[in-house]
Amino acid sequence: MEELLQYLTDRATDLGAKYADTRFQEVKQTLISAENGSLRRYESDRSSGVGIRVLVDNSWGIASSTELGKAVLRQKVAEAVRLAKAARKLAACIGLAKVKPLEATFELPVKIDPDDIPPEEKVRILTEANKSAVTGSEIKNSFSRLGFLHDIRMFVSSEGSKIKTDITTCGFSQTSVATANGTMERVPEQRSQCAGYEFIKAGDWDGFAREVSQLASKAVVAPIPTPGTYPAILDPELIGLFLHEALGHAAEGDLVVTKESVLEGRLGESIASEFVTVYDDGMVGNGYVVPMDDEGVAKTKTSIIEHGRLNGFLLSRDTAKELGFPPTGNARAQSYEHKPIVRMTNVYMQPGNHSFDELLKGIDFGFYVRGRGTLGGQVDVGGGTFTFRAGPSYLIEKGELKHMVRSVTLAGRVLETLKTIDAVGKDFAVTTSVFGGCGKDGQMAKVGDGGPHVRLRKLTIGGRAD
Amino acid sequence: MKKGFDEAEAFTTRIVRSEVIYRDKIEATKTNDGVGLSVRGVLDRRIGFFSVSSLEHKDIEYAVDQSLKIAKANREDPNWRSFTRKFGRVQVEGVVDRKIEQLSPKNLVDEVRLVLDTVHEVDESLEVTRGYISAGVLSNAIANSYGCRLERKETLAASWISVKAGSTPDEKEVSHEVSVSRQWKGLKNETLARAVSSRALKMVHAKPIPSGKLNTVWRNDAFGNIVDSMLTRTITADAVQENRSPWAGKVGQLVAGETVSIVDEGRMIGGIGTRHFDDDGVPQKRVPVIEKGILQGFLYDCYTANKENRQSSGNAHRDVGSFSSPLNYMKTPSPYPNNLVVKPQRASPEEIIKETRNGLYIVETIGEWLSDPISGELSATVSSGFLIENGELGRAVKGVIVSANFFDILKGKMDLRANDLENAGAVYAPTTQVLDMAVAGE
Repeated sequence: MEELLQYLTDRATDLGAKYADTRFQEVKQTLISAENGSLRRYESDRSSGVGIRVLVDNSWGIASSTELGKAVLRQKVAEAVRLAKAARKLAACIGLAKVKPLEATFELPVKIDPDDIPPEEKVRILTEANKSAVTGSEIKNSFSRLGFLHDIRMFVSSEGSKIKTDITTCGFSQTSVATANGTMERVPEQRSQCAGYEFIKAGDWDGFAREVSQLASKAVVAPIPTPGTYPAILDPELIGLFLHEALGHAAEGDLVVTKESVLEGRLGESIASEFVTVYDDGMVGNGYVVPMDDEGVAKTKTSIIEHGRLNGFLLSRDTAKELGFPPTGNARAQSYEHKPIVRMTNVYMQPGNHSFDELLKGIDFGFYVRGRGTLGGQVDVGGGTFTFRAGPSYLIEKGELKHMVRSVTLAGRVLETLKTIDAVGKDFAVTTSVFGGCGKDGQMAKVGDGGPHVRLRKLTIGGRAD
Repeated sequence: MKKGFDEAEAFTTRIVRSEVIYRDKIEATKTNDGVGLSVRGVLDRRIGFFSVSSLEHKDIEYAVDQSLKIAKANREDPNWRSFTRKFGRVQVEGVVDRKIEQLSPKNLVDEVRLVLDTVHEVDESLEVTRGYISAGVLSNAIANSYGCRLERKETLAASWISVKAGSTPDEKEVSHEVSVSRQWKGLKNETLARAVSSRALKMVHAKPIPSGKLNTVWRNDAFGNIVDSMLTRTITADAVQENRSPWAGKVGQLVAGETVSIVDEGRMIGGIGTRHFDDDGVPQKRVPVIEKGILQGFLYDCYTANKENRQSSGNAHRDVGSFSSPLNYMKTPSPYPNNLVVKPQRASPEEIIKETRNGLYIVETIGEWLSDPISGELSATVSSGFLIENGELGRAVKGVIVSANFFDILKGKMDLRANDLENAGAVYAPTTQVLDMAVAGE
């Protein structure tokens, strides 16, 4: 395949491209689901394709195909060049930041290839866990999934870069719906890791599924908090989600270039309290593994906030050139057919030195807001406002954890909220998901996020508005 | 294909798509061709499913073998009957546009020029921050071991524009507009560019409003997004059968105001979800969900219909959650709306705004999908809206959270609707007045 990619890349430059790269990708996925004790679906696929990207003058042309024959792909190269030429008059790529050509292979070490495990065993583990989640008559629905993703990518550029990455990811997810007094509460939760089947083998999925149901049973009878502004502790999962949505997107170079981002023009400014240091890192904890991006650039550990000051952005080669910085290895494409765009890898906050108890002691009346069971969130990058739906959380009174609360919505303005962080825990966790991902411009990317427990002096918490 | 199975089915996809991605200039012009095939086989009521991105003989053989391996490992499904022994196809109109089939790169470039010129004509200071125009042809075929075989073709075009107005960090606004159509001309790029531009200019000075209770008017597509979040996943037969629908056991009951009818129009002319047959090979049709306030029934594919000894309603989709995804062959079917239509009325949107006298006109929200369709708790952050003062649109509003229980909205709080159906996801909704929403603002 590498030879074919090299041939196509050379062909593109012969046809007049001043730069070209070709990408091959093969993906093997399996998603198995069980509901209320029965196996629901076992869906498995193997797909592959080649994408060709050419720069003619200042115009990008991209063509892709699932057909891998040399003759077909040769035609695709010509098509990419033709498209680039057709748009030449209205195109405006200012070029790519210089990088050293990179030749590298990264294969994630896998002890047990999920493909070597017979489907019988996967079905057994899943259905048993699914059944064990029916912990009482209040559990009306138990939905469990096992997911496996094997993503192999190759990259060849006309500048001499040759890259291969091979990443395997596995995970288990459980969603339980509990009812009580005419109310229904749904709690989704998952655990994934870039690893082989050994990750599934080592897990206690019966116990995990049971815990999710127990959480749903407790949550459905929990009160909804009174809307207001409170001090709060966010757990690693939720601070990760918060940083991803509220800060990470705003740090994406393409949104900075177009001046859409709330962070544009603020480099060096203090945008968070002094306790806040945030990185985007392709290789950290149990995050998603991104050693190199889809432009063949090594992913560096990128500092976004250093002790409260905005320190850097996430960059592709073209946004790096436009903003005048070195690229950070953040150009990622969902697949061979997509244009690489600026994406996060794993965004997280650096741990501080407080124990969880110390964080708690500082709160007279507030909330311990948890990510477990979260439905996610959304942010208006330009305006800098965010909305999240947390999982079942807890009331804090006089420095102690009290009863559970449900339907906790968080909202606020990113920059104001980051300034109210007054203590950072010493624990640390970064997680990813084989099931979901981050959507942007119609593309999905696998990401991770996390951090320590973090205390905020002021957070707007909405429950029921009436 | 049958090789070792009691019965089997194959589903294929071919997509040819072009796209142009731009901001103030064109960023990239793109084309992709893709094919895929899935094999679903059944052995002793055990189902196997595997797909490949190829139609070559050796890959099809591989898919069959893998599917058989999975079927053998699978548990027996007591609810499995059989694949359909009779496919059906209905005549539908407006799903294929010859212009899209013959689209040239020049057509895409010309359309971008039109958008950019229109935006700058509205105001020179406006900047297009991101946009794309795409169009493609999707062809599917389905066949099974009972000799049934069907093919269909559809075209789809989409346009998305985001425009920025203002230049200081505190006074800047990025507005978006999207249009989706089966027809190239249906994108109406000039109208779209004009609308997003004039709105961005007005939104620059948008501010929150004080908290309280307000009557609201939702623009058609914004209300469509709400209906999409609150209904499409719970009016399906699988949700009802598996105890994750609040509508279970309520058929025949009054669940909405008497003016409210919500019908899945599987054959709507030019509808985004209109197809000759669904992903099981069953003809699509008109399926009443709520008629004059009374819950009529649910949406079925073959599997969920067999479970209740009834006919499928022609609602099988293999692309649930990824609408018109070229990867639709990779999934097994589930029931989902085709074109879920909230019945419009006769008034124009302007008349509804006038009649509302005082309230909030909501153009765009974010986070509405975080609402809970099971409890009905609805909340959305208004990212673009206008005050209604004395029946006219006043100052721009953003950054407030509106909330209510959607089940209460259905029951008598959405009885005034306009005549302007618009698409949003799987839903078509008119501009709709929603009474009495809680607003969390300043």
